[in-house]
Amino acid sequence: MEIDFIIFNIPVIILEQGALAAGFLASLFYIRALDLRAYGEMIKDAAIVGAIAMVLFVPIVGLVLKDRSLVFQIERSLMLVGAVAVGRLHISGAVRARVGIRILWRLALVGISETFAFFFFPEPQRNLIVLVVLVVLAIVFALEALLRSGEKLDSIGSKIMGAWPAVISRAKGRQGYLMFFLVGLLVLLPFEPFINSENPFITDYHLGTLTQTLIYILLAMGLNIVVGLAGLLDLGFVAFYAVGAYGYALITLHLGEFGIGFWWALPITASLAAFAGCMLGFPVLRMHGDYLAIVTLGFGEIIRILLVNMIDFTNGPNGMSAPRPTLMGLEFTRRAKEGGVPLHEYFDIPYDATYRYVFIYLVALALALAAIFVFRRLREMPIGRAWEALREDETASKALGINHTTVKLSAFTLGAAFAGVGGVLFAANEGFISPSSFTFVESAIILSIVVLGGMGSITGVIIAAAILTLLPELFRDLQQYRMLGFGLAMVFIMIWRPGGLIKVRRRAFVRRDSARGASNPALGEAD
Amino acid sequence: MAPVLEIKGLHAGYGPIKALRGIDLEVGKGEIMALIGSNGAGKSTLLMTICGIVKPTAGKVFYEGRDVTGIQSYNIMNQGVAQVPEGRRIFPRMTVLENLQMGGAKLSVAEFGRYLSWVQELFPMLSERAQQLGGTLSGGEQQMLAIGRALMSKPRLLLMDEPSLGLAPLISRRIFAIIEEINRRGTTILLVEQNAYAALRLANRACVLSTGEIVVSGDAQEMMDNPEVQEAYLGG
Repeated sequence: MEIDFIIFNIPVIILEQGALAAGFLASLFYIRALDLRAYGEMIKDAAIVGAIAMVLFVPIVGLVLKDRSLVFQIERSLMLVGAVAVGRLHISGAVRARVGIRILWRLALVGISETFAFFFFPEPQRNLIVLVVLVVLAIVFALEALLRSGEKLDSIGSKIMGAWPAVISRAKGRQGYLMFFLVGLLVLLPFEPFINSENPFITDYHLGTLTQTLIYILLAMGLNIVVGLAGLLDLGFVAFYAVGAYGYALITLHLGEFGIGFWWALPITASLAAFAGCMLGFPVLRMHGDYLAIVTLGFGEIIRILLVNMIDFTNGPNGMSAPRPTLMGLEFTRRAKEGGVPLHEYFDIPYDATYRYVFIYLVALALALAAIFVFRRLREMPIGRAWEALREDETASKALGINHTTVKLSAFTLGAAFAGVGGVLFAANEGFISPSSFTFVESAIILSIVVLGGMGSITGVIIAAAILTLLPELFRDLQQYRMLGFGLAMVFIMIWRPGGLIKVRRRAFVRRDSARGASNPALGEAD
Repeated sequence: MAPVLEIKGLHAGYGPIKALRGIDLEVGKGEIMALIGSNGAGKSTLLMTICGIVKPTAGKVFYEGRDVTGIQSYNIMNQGVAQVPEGRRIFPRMTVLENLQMGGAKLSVAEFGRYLSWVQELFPMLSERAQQLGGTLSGGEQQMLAIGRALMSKPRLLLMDEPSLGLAPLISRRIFAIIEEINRRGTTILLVEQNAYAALRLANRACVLSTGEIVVSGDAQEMMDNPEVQEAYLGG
């Protein structure tokens, strides 16, 4: 099978060369950070694990059935053995190093595996190795980030964050395991139809709906910054969602020929939406409450009306088609469009339409988790505290030397960036976008998710997003009463739980300072 | 030696209302300057104008010899000025410790720890109630939190707006003792106070503000003996 440069395009090569350089630097740090005996132990561990993997993989993976006879293809199993050994090396290194070095070490790993793959394997497998390493790293990063998201910032982190003296709440013990379990469940969920192929419980429809829920979680996290933390009532949040979706469609339409697809569109449209957020922020700097709500409402409508009327640019009310995402250039269609390669042909597996749903679901899950993580961190960083202080009392914040201009603008900007990412996902998931998807009702739904969930809360917002997107799906037959139910739910929530489903609780964490024998109160919040 | 704060011909107001009409004031290093006057005399406006929250229409403000007239509030406050605003204005839905953090956001970790223990030494209540929401504190405790929060920013000049407002006499006496203690540690204080007697007893120098102008100023002890001041502000 002839495959042209799919993965080895310019950006990836730059990325990998950067990783190699970083890896070189990391090894320098690493030598300083570890003594030689530790190196010996690490290599010994890796060798043992590699040997075990060899025993396991050679008979399972190394023997390939070809035309009714078994062919021994050792390189297939060696690939996996190598990956396992390098992975073990990485784990041993990781547990011995500090966070900053750990990140460099991981970049180094990409570089090492890339070099390894380059010398030993032909192109398709080479790409697969790099891909596997990247995916594994991404998952490790995500899980670790979730588990460690509450830990005290290490020295490098605190330097970046301006030496914020907070000791952040720790997701410890049971809570950490619960989170790990839940995330694991959500990651494995979409693979159910492949295992249980006879009578799958989870269908494409379920995955699509869950993806939509995840997109709403992402959006709600963005609005949670603006409304929940900074206390700026934004009724036009859908504008940034639209900027994201249309940004994706337009960028891929006009710049697709330069290899700009889904993955490049993500950061680009996130910055576009962030820019739009900043633009909205300037005129409303001095506004509060009702006035702010009206202006943001107007802004949302302006964007929608622009989309309807700029027919040459956005195709007006007829909408635009948005390309489906690709996995490193591999398409999820049965037959690729010209010059493309479908995923199933590349990896030589049978075609299944579910792959695409699984992929978008996983991407949405990863981005939603990232959004939750970023939100959590932001809330505890100086900027997050400044948002809250500004919400509490603007004059007092000014009297404490808080730069209210940048603090407000950053809330709008960051919130909008979240919405931009959500828009890209939405467009990629639906495949088609039109201005009618970005009406005020959409803003209202996102706002209700935040309000129902509890402003500033994470768990509450996730639950509210799930309820507000899944319940209407469950009661499709009663569709015409949806808004009625919605309104009733709002009224009852406001009566019974005015702080939202889960109110943000600020909890005490006391760090024992053994050196002084005194207890040093640290703070944190959990919900 | 150049004064810490020097104000020359300062005018400020809210639209057509002229709150300050040509204030001239000097606060020397390490002293407590009391600013007394009746309601609406422009005391709070003066503090807000020094902080850059209210923009002056004319005149100059110099802080440590630098012209800080009309610059953004955060640029002034980050140069070692702190304000304890009138009515306390703590952040009610943030914990006591978070309130203090907002004051000390610019400090390094080590400095933060040092200042936190100093502030908690001054107000032991703040360490006992570190995790309590600011809004659930009593009035006096909130005032202590507001002072503590301002102190966390390592101020060289502390502007205090009616620290005894609405407090029981016993508590306000404690607050004044603490102000004296803060001053002893080298912080210059500009104190706005309705309780003129307590303020004059505490201060080195004082001035009386009336309808946006300084009408009397001088040594605090002399002011106390001044019959006009006695009549108008000390209840005869």
